[in-house]
Amino acid sequence: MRVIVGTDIASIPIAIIIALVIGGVLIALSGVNPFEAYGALLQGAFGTPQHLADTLIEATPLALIGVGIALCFRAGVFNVGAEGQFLLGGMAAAITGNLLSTAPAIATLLAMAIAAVLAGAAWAAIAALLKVYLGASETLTTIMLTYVATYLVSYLLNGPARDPATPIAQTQPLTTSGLLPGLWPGTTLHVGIVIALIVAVAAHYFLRRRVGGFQIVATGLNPVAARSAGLPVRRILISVFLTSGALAGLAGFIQVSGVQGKMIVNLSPGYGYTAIVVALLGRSTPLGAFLAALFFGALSAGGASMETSVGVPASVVTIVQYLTVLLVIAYTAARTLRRPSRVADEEE
Amino acid sequence: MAISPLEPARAAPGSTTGPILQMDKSTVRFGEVVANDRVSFDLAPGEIHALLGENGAGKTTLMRVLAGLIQPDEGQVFVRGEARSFESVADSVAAGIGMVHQHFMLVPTLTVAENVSLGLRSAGRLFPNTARVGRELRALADKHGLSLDPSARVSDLSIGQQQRVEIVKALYRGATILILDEPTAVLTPGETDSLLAMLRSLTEQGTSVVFISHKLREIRAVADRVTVLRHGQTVGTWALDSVADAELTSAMIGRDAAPTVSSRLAPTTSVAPVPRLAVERVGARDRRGHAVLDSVSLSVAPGEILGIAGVDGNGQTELAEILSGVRRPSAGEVRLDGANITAATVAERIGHGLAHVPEDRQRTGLILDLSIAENLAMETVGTAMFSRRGSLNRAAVRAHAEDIISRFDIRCSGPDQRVRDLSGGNQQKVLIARAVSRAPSALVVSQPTRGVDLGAVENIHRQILDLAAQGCAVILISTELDEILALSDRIAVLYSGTIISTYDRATVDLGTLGMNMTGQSV
Amino acid sequence: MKSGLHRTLAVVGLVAAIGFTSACSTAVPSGNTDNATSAARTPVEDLSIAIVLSGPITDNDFNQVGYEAAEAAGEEVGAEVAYAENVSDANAERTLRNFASDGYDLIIAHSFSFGDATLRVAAEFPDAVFMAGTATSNAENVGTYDNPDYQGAYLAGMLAAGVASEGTVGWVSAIQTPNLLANLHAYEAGAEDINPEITVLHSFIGSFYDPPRAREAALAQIQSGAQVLSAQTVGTIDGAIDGGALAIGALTDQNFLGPDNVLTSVLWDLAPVFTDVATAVQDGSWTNENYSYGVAEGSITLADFHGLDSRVPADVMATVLEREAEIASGEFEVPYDVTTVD
Repeated sequence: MRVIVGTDIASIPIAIIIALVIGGVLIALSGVNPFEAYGALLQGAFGTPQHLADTLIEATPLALIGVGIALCFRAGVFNVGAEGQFLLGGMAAAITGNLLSTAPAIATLLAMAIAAVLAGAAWAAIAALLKVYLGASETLTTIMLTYVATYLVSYLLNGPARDPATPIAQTQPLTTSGLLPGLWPGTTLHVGIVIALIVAVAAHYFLRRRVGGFQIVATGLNPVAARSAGLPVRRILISVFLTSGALAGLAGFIQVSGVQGKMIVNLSPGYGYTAIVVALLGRSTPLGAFLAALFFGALSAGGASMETSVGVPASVVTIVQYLTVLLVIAYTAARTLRRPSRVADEEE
Repeated sequence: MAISPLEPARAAPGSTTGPILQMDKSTVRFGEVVANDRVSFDLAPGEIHALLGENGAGKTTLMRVLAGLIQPDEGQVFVRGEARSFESVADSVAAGIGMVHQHFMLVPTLTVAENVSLGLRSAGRLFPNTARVGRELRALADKHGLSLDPSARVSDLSIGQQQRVEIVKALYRGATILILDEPTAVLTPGETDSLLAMLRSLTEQGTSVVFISHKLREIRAVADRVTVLRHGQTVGTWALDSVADAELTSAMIGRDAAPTVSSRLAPTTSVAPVPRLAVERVGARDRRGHAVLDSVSLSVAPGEILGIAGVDGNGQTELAEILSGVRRPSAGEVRLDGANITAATVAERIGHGLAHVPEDRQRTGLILDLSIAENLAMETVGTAMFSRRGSLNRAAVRAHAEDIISRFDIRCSGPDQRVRDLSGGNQQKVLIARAVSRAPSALVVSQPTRGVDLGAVENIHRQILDLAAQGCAVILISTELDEILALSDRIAVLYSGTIISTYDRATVDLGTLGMNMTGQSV
Repeated sequence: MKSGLHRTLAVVGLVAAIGFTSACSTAVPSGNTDNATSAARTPVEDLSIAIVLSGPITDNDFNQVGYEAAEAAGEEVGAEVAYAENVSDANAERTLRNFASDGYDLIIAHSFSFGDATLRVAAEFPDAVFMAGTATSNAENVGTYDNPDYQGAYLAGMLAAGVASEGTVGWVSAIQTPNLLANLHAYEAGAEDINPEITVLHSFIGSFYDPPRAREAALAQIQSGAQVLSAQTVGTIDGAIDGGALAIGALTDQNFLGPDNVLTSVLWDLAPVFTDVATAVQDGSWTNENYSYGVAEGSITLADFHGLDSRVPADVMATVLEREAEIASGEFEVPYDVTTVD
């Protein structure tokens, strides 16, 4: 944990640059001018209003889920199952939205968001309770629960929740009262990014200024000492897990309501997993995770453009994303190894 | 007061009769701070050379230079007359230097043999031959009269046993110069004796030992010469048979020896009708279900200090955990002012005026990566003292810390300094201050001065005595018999999970307690 | 080998959905027919084609079929071809929009689940032509294409019945979608064409992708006497190999899955559709109809037998080839029946 939280900020731009250079070499090997490819990537991420909107739209679920995972990291637990919490959030939002299709938009959207938050939190609660009361590794249970969630959503979409008008595994399209309002006329940008920003700022404030946030940080740094000092460690762990699940569920709501307009089987191209990396790159801080999500969103939006316009596979972008994080971790680890732990300096 | 240090002998290169190890004007700076200022000393073959000094005097820096962990900015190190510079730990090991750190460098989940094999090329690279290493370790341990089970898991060993592992590990790696950092701080009197005997037997076989300590009695029992460090400088080197204790003490602290803490003048002898804090027939089991505490009953009255003596690993940890609320007893009750608090949480007990100081300040006591102020506020952060409606009042947290820092004489750069960067003694002061400053009605304090320098020991003992004088009931759990004898009104001896004897302070002596601690009744 | 749940779901689901669309277009004429016939489009010079695929273009399967067809069409009409592979449903709309805003003239959404995304983007880019594997309604600039593989299933049924000396053949598939029902009924009809006494066993395993279950279903049919199985879902061929039966593959030449067991496969070639669509976009004659290319257009064919044609009696083979020619010429129409079964 210390490695993750204590990352040297300076290492991040360096890691990004090195990862981009390695990505450039890979692009060159595939026979494309890397500068041209990265030009296309920049163009695709920021070049037009719609492209900028795409970057922000991609960043939104990553930021929401990433902030939740960062909170978990700070408390010393690992929520690897945000993917499942996200899918169930999307599912709950779509079902609620279709049930309330004739209600006023504000009521429908609120109900959808609440349903999604509850679904995500409930799914996370299973893993949290298993960990706190039975000592089951949350890493394993959340992964297993993600499988269950994926198949549950697939079952619902192929069965009871399927739009009878189509054989495709998806719900009925939401009516306009179930769609998130747009933010930037002329683009597909919706208000989700504002929600994500508010969540990130609130989480930042919580960690810095609230007793609960202080207790999360203390627990993450040394749960034994925290417990010994009377901190409600179990309750803290359960609450960060539920919060993380709730934020993943909220992200599911935003994707359903703001992007797809219905629940589909493949709602997530792996947001729940990418967000783990976003949280790592964001040094487990909410604002850091938000910035990392913007970076990943730009890479993702720009990568699609790079693929379509210069024919470089978008997987290069994935490589750059993960290389960045690996390099940050390696850099931090190398520094930690080279400079022996301060524990040894104890008697000075 | 006359100080007559010996002149260090300079060895000729390649000489076999000169010092095996010599430091010449070694200087280490950390920014503004000079941790070692032209430190010189020499170690003769087969000698036990003690380094004496308060914490912060530069002993550990000196040791880290020899370990290859830091390079001196100036000065030189000679091994067998040749100038050597240690770029890494490997260089130091190759020169035959073996370190036994105060904080053990062991992986708790591995066995003794596996720990020794770690990173050891001769054990086999990918798949260490731990069976062979185990046999050789056992032989080595037997030879030096240490009991050691190479197949035991380190997490199952007591602190004393873990230290044995560290020593044998260094020997196994071919160390001819052994450097021990405060080795007795964690040992029982019996273990200390056998360690000292082992060191003497090692020197007879040609090993040389640097023995870092601030316990004069041990230094006198084992060492040939002593070098005193103060404020990063060498005060001098003496042969022990030609120097008096008082002389060394004043060399170490830079003034005449402070009066030692005396035992309490007027202990509360009249026992209150209802004890402040009591346990009744409590039991505890370890993870494998073995009883580690069996039907322990104790009580302590307001203003009384009850000392719990015993060798590490006889149930002290569990008893402290049951009292503080971290552990639920498998049987029995805990009572505070007559009320059953067995089911109360740690926080609830804190709310009821119970304070506790965990035995391991770095693992269970403090959160090293948080600041002094944050650690001090940790237990009561949710109260009106530090927060309102869940909103943290950082200014109050800081102000409280500034007050505590001056009241408890915590040496630091300020309330925002990370606890990790404090010396052990100052870390312990933070931990003690956190408990004491709340003016608790009962205090459970475990190993309050383990690995802490003399100045801090005095300060901490004073805090405990003052608290008791104000009517606090104190349970003092310590493996240091001197400490138990100096502070307690009554003394109970914990052996193998049971209280085998209880004494009034006035009626017991060191020898009796020592026998009881090893399970012998008198 | 087949791999990846999502891709297989997409593939099988797409086939199902295409069948559904074709069912609609067969049963109910498109509501937009007026638009379709009246709208004359501007001819396009320097045609550029983009295809969006849900899986990798090297899958030896559905996505490769689509990609190669697009490349072949581009070669044929002299158009630049771009593609985006491994596009998830969640990213389909953005990818389609990227191509449209980059000025591609013909954009092919090659997955059943891209329908809604295609319609949304098409509404924003009226000058581009979109072809969707399926769409729930036809916009002016969105055409559809489907896979009338029931025509090939008829031929497969004939072959199976001709080889099955004991009079029992089998058919294993996923779930009862219109497309697969049409396939089953055509298969049954073809089998009866050769042997009126034939018994045709069928299994719907109830899932789009469950190879172990498909394998079990195949083995059960073989134990009930089936000698030839139509493999409409992954795992069937493995069951045929284990049970010592023959199998007829689907979509691509699946002989490599069982060189001694896969008699032939019913192939689907999209190049004729894409080439015709590209030509129509070039000359401005494109309309938003459903392009259903079957045996007549050379899109549905039987694969090479890889030497296993020796297992087929010569008279049966002759009848099959004759029937294929009749279907192609329109002389024989394969019955289209999507009645659900037990």
